[in-house]
Amino acid sequence: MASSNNLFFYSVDEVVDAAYLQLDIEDTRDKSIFREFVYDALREIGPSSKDRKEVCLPVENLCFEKPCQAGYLIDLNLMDDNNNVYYYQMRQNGKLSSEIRKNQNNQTAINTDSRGTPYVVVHEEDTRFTISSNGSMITKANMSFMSLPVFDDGTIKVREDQKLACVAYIEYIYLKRERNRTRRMGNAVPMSEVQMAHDRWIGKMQQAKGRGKMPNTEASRQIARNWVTMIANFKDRKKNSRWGYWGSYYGI
Amino acid sequence: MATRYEIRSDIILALTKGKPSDDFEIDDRQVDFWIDSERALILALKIKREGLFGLESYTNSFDSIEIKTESIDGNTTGVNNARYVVELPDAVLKLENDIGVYYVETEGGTQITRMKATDKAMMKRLRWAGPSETQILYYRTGENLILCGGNTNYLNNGKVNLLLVLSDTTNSVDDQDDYPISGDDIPTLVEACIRRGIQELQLPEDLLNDGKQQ
Repeated sequence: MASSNNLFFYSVDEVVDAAYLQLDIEDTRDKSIFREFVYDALREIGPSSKDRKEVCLPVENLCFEKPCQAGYLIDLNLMDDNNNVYYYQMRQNGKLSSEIRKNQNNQTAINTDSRGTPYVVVHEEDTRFTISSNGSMITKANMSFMSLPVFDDGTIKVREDQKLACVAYIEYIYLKRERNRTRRMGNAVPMSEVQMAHDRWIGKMQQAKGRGKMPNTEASRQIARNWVTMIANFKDRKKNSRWGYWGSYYGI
Repeated sequence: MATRYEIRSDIILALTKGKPSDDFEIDDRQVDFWIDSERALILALKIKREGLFGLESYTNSFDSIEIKTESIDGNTTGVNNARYVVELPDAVLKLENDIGVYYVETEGGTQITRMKATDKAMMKRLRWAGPSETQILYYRTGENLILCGGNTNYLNNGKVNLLLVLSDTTNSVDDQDDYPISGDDIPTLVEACIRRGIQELQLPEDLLNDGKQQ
């Protein structure tokens, strides 16, 4: 089983064992069930800014596969072999291909925004992204996404600021199960205890979420710099360099 | 705390009014049966009243029990049809939530956790809780524990250690071994056994507590 050599991460087993020791549960035979609940707790806490990953994926036949760890898409850059970046828009739900506006001159499906700027349409599916046919020159996609951190053997890493929340969730689920189990025998765990455990879990979850959103020192400096200037540093965004390829196309 | 011999002697001493004899009507095996059955009752009531706290005192450990390989009927080509079974070395006491099988671990000390026999299909579907190469689980069918998960190298050659609450301790606990019961329950056990002895021998008893035997 994975155990962390990084002091800031715990393995799932470490979290379950810590919960059992904290709760002083004598019957440890059902411990493995709580491994599942650690995953549930982590999903409930959600990814934080530290869980961002960036990969460069090859584009083949106008599509590229999502990595198996990809949760939510944060940012995407579509590029050709010369690293020119192409302007794109995500395809809107419910919009049919027949509704895409045609270029007046050659009637090819070149999509343009309200200012007439051409763009590539990107459509997200469950396991991959597909791009419109006017993006045939795109050969790679630089993708940033949220992902749960994992050890080399594929088991989940629990960040230290998420540990107490996971333990609180295990306590809540344990008491709920015990109440269900013992209710038939007349010595049920009081509902108030279950409710208190639930409240503790909610509190710890929000704490973990908040900690996950805290900027690190370097990010804090950046925030301070931007705050003083009061002007968004939009020039750094590759996405805005839409004239890169299309500018030469239109002779701009 | 106290050996089986000491507990049995105390009961016989009380029943023979301090004059134990070779001609005592009750066989030692009968007294052993009283001890085991009264212990089971004390334990069941204790669990109901106090939960599982202190249950280790009632357990017996069995080390290095071999894992046996059984082949499942209806072999399918390319599928591992072996089933890995641990036979329980002695009769386990039937207790709430099958706590009689108290603890199972590999010989190396890694815990083997449980899935209820009725839950095994559900557990196998769970991604993190179910059996996997790094996680061994067992379910109980009668006097066998069936192991799931783990790597075949361990399952084919490995052994397990068990902590069990036995229903009949005569095979596993010698006269000179500590009897598996918590110290504070020994007086209750002895008293309950004496009461059974009095009933069995139909000895007169001062039921009204007035100094007269009824």
